[in-house]
Amino acid sequence: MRVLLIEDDDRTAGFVTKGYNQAGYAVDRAANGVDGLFMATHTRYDIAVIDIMLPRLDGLAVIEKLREQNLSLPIIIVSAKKSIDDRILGLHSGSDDYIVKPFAFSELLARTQALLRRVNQIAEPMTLQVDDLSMDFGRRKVVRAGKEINLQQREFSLLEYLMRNQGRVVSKTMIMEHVWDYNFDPESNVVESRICRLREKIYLPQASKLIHTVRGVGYVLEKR
Amino acid sequence: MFQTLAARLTLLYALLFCLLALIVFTVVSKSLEVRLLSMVDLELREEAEEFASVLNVGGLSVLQEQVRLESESEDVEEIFIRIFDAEQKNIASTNLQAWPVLPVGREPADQVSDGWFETLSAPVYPNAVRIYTQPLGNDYAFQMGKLMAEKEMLMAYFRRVFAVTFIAVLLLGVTIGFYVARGALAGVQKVREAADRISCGDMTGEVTFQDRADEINSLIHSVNHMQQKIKSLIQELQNVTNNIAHDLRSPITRMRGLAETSLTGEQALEDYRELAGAVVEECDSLVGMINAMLEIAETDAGLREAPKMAVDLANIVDDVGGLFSTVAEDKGVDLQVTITSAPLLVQGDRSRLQRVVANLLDNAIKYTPEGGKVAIHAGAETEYILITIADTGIGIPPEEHRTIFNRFYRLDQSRSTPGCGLGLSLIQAVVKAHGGMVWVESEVGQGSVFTIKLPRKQT
Repeated sequence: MRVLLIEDDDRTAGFVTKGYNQAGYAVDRAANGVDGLFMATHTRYDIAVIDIMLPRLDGLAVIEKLREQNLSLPIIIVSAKKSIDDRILGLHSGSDDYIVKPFAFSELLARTQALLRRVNQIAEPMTLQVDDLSMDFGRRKVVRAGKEINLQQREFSLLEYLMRNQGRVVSKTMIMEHVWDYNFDPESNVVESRICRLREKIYLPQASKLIHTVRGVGYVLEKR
Repeated sequence: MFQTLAARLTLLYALLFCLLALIVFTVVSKSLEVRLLSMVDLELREEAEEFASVLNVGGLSVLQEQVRLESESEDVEEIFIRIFDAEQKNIASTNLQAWPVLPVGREPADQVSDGWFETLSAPVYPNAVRIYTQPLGNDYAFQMGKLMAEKEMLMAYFRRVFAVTFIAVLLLGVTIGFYVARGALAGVQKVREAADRISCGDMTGEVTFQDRADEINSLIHSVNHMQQKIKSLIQELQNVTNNIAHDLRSPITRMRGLAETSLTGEQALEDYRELAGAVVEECDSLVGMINAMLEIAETDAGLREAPKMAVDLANIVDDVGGLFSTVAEDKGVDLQVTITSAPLLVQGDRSRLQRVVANLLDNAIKYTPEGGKVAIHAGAETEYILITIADTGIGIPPEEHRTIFNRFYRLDQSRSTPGCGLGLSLIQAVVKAHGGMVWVESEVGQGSVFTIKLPRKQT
């Protein structure tokens, strides 16, 4: 997968590139709108991540010009502007998603993957397996080492979200948004306590604990 | 000069006065004219009746003699008398030398017993002439004319007096009116000076001027009130700025300290991880704080128009209760959720109302010690929906029941508990934006009850 990153701030570009590389993506970066437009029209990319405030040609103009040339490349806008109007403007210009600075890289990555799945029409699998834990989303069944585990509805959704993002860190905010439909993170550690319950339920002595905490960032489900 | 309110008012009143004076003048002069004319007519008619009785008593010869006598006694240049016979012939008259233009004969031709008046204006006469013709029996007719010098003189005199009075009153009225208007607006001048002073940033003192007019006094009152409001806003802004500086400085200091100690000397890899994790957490809380501040500011300023959708508060309370159940359990706090009726519909923004309920419950659990109780209750009145969140926590001293809703305000005891002190002011901003109220009843050591009252969606 090749990502085109149009971002004028070197440090932001640096950490985004590093993050994508760690996730196995190749990143080309343009530091201004004109270069970015040139690269987008002359090279095939799978996805573009574009900042709005850019020197020489602003992000929205770049997107409009790309769309005029009938380039259907999926685009995520990154902007420091938070207001709803700016979001709507961004999405109207022809972008596919919008993320506000400062953002957690894990969220950008998750959105990138979701967008790529959507664009490439990859269906979400109906069953998933990590190590000895398997989930059947259709029949709402969770089995670990051959033993069925009873989960409440929210616990099931939480585990499903972690399973579908297996190997990737998901932040507390992302969990609140996707599992509880809250767009904020309460001060009390609600997610932490839910994760604890979930860990207890899928706990198996002498086996991997599967759900790991990444300090400050969030949680990841993987076999270690 | 003519842009001033006093001048405009004066001009307006002067115009109005002129218009009224014109109407008065027209009415008075018309009625005066009619009255004077009727006096002339009365005189002529009396004269005619005298001649009629002369004819009746003495016959034609005495009548002619009478006319001759009149010719001698009266001023023939002002009055003329003619007697006609049945053939319209002038059989007797006063000296007609001064009367070159006269109506011919005795018009109208048809025999009428009543007399008639006519007014004759000719360039040769200095005034209009009033003429009265009266048939005397069937054979004769009497005609008398009179210059209306007196009447016209009176009218001219009236016009002159009126004009002089008019001009005098107008001049006097305009001058006095102008000064009175300016005097009445002196209060406005004072208020303007105060406004200039305030806009220059001088908030000391207030307008103490007392005017006779209530309008000006209420304006002065409003300006003073505005100044006080501005003053308290500036004060609040200063407090907020100080608090922001403090609340931003602490996490930055912590991050800087951590990074600095990590850089001095070799650390284990795990320590670096720890540092990075701590930095991410501090940053997230800083961003959360900035976002909350922006959101409060936007909500207060009305910039974020709440989407007007039907939101079910029963559902929100139920959800939030479920969300916090494990946290409460972990802390050993008994959480009770009661919803007396469902749905509880209000009009507004779901995600922000969710946040209000979650923040309040979050606080209640946070400040309630182990073994305590937190109860959230949602119910409806006819026009309002009430949500109460009661805890058995540390409580809030009465003097702080209002200030806790201020931005960055935190009770001394809670400084050590994580949080930024923005939660309650965000709650208040959102509830107000939804047309509702939020308040607290509390007793130190016993616990607190927060109540949210929101207008129910009318179906």
